[in-house]
Amino acid sequence: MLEDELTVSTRERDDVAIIDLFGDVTTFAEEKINSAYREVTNKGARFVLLNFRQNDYINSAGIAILIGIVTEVNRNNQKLAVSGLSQHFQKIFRMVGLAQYAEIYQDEDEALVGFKR
Amino acid sequence: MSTPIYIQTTMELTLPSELGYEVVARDAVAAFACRLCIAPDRLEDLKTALCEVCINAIEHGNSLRPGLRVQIRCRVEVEQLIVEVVDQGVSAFAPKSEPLTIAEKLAGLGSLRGMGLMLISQLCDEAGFVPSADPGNCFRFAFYRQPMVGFRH
Amino acid sequence: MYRLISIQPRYQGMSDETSQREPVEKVIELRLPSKLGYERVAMDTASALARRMGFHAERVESLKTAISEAVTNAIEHGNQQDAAVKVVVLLTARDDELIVYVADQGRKPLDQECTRPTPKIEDALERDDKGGWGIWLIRELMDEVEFTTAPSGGNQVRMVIHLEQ
Repeated sequence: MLEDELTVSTRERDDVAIIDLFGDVTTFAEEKINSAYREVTNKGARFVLLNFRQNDYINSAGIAILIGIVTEVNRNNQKLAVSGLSQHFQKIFRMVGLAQYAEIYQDEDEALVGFKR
Repeated sequence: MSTPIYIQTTMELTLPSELGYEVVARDAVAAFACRLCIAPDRLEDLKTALCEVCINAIEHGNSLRPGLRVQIRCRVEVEQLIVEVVDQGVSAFAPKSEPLTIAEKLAGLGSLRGMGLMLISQLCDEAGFVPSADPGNCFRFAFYRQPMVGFRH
Repeated sequence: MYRLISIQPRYQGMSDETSQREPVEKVIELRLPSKLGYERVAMDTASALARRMGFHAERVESLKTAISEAVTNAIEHGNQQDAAVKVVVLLTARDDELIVYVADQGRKPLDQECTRPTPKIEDALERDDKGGWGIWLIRELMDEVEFTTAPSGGNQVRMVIHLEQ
């Protein structure tokens, strides 16, 4: 069973640092997600968008990693949002309380507009 | 007895011997197989083959008798995924001759319903009935894994 | 109260007298390697069964998440990721509900006191360990949840999702 099921990449659009998370967000994702976040932060990102893919799988270990990102975002005075989540995982994010710390958008375009408001 | 150095990755699944449940087995085996460096189109072939083998077990091996079970065993080997499907052997299913070709079937030489075995043997890298210690038919098939630099299982 | 004497499921057609009083059940039994990642097999198996039973898409997603958490716990904690042992998952389909049973070897026994957690994100932000959401998610997403210990010492969780008509 291959563990590296997640690809994480970073890019920038309209002053927003976008971290694409395509694949399973589980315990194995920790190093990749944290290092992508560090990379965009070191470049001075003020707005960070975590962009997911509809059909992927996020478990509670993945949620713990994302809560860790929120901790850092708060510390670094950045603004965080998420996009691309399925309806189910939007619900999970709200249940856990992540929606209070990261605005949930349907897709990347909506998020980029939202950041500007 | 010394501890084995390498423990094989295996999975077992049993399901009701009822038509329709093969799709549950299909999704289980596909989830098991999808990270084993098997090409995507071969994974689709695996899903189809698994359904056909299960249908044979339900319809023929278990003669559609309610209350029976079908067991599926998956085993990861270095170069291949092996799947065995076992029924409770109400009827011995192993056919006595090679499956007919489409041309022969269209010529009326055999039942069109028997396409399953022909399809299965074309989809899988290896396929056939094997002797089983337990009562029942055991159909074994294999899908080869693609070699990949640094893959681990 | 769920009567669990052994893992032997009741099969339709058994000539046991009591089976005439109980609802017809279809059981899928799965034995998975105790390696992280294999919870996907349980999720996809349950998903296929639940869809076949007529559950709506959102309920199927909730079921998948709950099973994912239960099986991950069994792999990681109960079986300590030992490749030599299996996680057992039983899926029982009844007319109006799906029952999921997940069992491990209990290498790390689940403390009953930990089975009703109330995690809060505000607390998680303050501490180093951001985890502890799994069992809470199971309880939030499933209709009935019960954690027990097998006579052999293994951890067991029984989860039920009701089929809304």
